[in-house]
Amino acid sequence: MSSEESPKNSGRAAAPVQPEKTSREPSSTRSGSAHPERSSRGASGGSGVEGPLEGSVEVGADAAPALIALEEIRRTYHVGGEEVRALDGVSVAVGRGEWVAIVGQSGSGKSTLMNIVGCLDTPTSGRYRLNGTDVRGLSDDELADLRNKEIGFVFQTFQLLPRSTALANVELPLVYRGVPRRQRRELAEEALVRVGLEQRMHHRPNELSGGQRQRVAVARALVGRPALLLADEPTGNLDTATGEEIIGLFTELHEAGNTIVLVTHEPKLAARCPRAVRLSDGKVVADGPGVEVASLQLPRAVGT
Amino acid sequence: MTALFDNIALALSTLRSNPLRSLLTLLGIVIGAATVVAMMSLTEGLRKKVTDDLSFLGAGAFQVQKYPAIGINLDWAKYRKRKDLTVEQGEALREHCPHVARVSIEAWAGPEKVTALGRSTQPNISVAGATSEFEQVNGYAVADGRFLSEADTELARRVAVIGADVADLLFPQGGAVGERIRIRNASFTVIGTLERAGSVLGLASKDTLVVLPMSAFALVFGKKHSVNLAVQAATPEDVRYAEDEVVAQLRRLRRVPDGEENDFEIFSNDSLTTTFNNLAATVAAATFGVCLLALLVGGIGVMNIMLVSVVERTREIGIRKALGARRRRVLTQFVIEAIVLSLLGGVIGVLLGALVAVGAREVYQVPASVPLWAVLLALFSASGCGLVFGIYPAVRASRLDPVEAMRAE
Repeated sequence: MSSEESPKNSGRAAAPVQPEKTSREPSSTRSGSAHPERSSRGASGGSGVEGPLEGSVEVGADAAPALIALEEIRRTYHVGGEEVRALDGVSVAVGRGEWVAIVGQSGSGKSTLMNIVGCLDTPTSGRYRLNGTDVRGLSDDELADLRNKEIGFVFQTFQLLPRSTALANVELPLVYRGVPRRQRRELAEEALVRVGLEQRMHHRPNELSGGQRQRVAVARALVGRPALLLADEPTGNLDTATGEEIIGLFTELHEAGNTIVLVTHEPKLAARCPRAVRLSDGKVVADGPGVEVASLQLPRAVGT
Repeated sequence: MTALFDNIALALSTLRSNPLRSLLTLLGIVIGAATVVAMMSLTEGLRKKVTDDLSFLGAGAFQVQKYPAIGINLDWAKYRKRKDLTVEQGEALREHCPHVARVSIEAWAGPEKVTALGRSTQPNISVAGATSEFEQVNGYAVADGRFLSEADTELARRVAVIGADVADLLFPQGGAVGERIRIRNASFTVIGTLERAGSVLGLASKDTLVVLPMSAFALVFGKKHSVNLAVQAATPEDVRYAEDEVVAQLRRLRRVPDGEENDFEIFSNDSLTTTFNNLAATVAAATFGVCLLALLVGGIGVMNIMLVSVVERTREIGIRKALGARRRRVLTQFVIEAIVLSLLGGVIGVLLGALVAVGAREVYQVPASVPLWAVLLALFSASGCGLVFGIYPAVRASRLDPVEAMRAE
């Protein structure tokens, strides 16, 4: 569904890029007239666009429930008494089986968005539904359960437990799901075979290369059969060739039907994804086919 | 269940990864647990032996004296004000109590130094003025020569019967009988030596004594002594009646008004044992208090190391929370780790304490035995310590924000 809209989105995205950038100063319009870039909500066919308030956006949801439905997400931090808006009205929908890159420079809000999508953080306002569950008002523990069930994380710095074997690392999400020992061992072995590490199951992270570590992380992300694979700069700590391997692995996983959201600052990587969403200053400035969104980067980078 | 095993396995692997630090942290707990086990083993050993040792009275015998035999926190002034027990009162018991078979009337003095033929004992010899009943009522047996006779007492003969230790010290070649010993410049002829009788609780030897006829004793130590009356019933079954008779007779002789408590102490082997056990329990309780203090110090060590551990493993905690660990899960992980750590300290402490107890048995002849309940008490206290002091660090761990935590290095 979002793919239907993407031409329109990308068309729009090209235009607002410059205005958006320069309009930093009339930021008082943020809350009131945030809706211009609302269209980036891929799924909802524009039915909610006219309403400035979050509640009215729901309407489109019943058409085809997206896996990720972000509506008017804002996230503000207080740093030294000053309010920082990391996300300023972001609305994005991602359907099942999509592979979407979230791209932006550092400070664009993409990390904050990744944390919110990953249920590691909750929005200050706005609505986020993951696989039909509204995360608003969920407790810490409920969020933990949701992460465990719905999301497989792949981090830039791998985030493996250093003293545990690859197998034990991959088992971890199942441990917290209460899967019995034997069964989780079998599933973890399966996942490691899936990423081509059948020879390295009993190695610890420090006995593995960077690429192998990231494969372990991917196996760990896959093992619980989550609805979403959420990768944060998965190639950021890898050399080009190894990064290429990991992207190859993601391509396979995408083809096998997994939903992938990949957060990156690299336009080149975004270009490899079927769809990309560009963030800048906490707003969505482009949403469309990866190649197109990625190419927008260049003039802008030069311009500033 | 799976979760519990996972947590325990995890805790063990963490301990293994830092064995020296874990061990040092545990020192307080180790000392606490070791003290519990060692002290409890010693008191328990003493308690077991006490029944035998306190049977220094012969079968079916009990003792009457002015002062209590053992006890703590006694009001000595009260006992000092009591009238002395006299030889006459002892003799009255002999005559007027039908269930009483023998009364050993004993005056005690000492510790004294005893010398003979240029040899000398330490000044630790008890001297008794006694009658012929002394031997049987107190469960002694003559090794060589004879015991005191009634004639010895009546004629105030300057004779003595000496304990086994005294005989060994003064007459290492044997042949004590017929030799002379000196006590406070008075000279006595040895007429008999006693069989070795051992000691009370491995402390008070029953063999470092000299027994003189009451009349001879009075020549050296004066007549102003409250005597002890060791009373033996005709048969062990008669002890109860004999006790009643003795109490009634003494109250009458000493003019104790009705309704007032006895102005003398009466106790048997059993009542001594009971008193000692109470005493031992008090000591044990006090000891346990000290152990708790050690455990408290140990617990603070555990808390400290767990706080350090939480900081060091911030990232690990972040990863676990990101992957779906609930707060409680992280909390239990760290609490169990603290408990396992403390329990390990407890186990080491128990082994160490047992070693001390065994060492004491070998060196001091104390019949220490390690009671199971002391081991359990030590382990339980140690793990309780881990639980209490592990909670705060664990709560801190469980409250970490996953995003922040994963950023930590």
